[in-house]
Amino acid sequence: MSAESTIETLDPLVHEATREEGWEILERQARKRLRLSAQEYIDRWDSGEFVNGEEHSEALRVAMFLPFVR
Amino acid sequence: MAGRTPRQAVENYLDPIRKSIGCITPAYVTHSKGGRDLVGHQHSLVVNGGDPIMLGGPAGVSAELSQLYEIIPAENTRSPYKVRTLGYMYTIRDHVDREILGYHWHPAEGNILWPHLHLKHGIGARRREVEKAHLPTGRVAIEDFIRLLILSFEVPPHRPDWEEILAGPQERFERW
Repeated sequence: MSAESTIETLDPLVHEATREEGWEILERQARKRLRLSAQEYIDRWDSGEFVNGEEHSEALRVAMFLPFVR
Repeated sequence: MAGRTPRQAVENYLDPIRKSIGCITPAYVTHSKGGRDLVGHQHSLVVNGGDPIMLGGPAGVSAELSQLYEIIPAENTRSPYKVRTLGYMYTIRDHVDREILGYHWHPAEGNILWPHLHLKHGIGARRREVEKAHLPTGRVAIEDFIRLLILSFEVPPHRPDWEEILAGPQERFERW
């Protein structure tokens, strides 16, 4: 095995999440950052409850994961 | 990054990101379902499932990296699809998981439309104005963030050609 091919194997793998895996990711992040379930987070996010609230910053972080379930 | 198909455009977008992340961690990259095919749809890209990546080195920092992107039609008929970055969050935490800093850009959400930097209590500062401030920055590429981790936070690089890897794809981001 050449040095170049050894280096290539160090590159991270790219994985497409299934919908179920996506829900698991959102659930974990919502619970860790806001102590909410994924569905509770979505309901509150969609209703605009986080806007200007103390949790807004963490809610924005969790929003990065929303496409995993939408 | 453009391509003949949505999938090729995404591959061309992901490949330099994957290589850049490989400069500091073997942690896997995950994108949302349909993230290589669905045009005009917001997609997530996260490293290590969105959890902190322990990076080693004397400072003992960890990092979180996430991006939002979209596949859109391009004007180039030979490469009719391209990928547009819609936002990012890159965070550095200290050895006890306190946030040190975060580069954010999330123009579709909230009222802070510009790319910005947050300095948090992990830097040791206590001024409330600084902790709440959205310090304006230019757009920050993943390559810039990884270079910062290696050069300033003493994160050990995982490959000897890291400078070359991080220098290459930056043009991709600066064109946007």
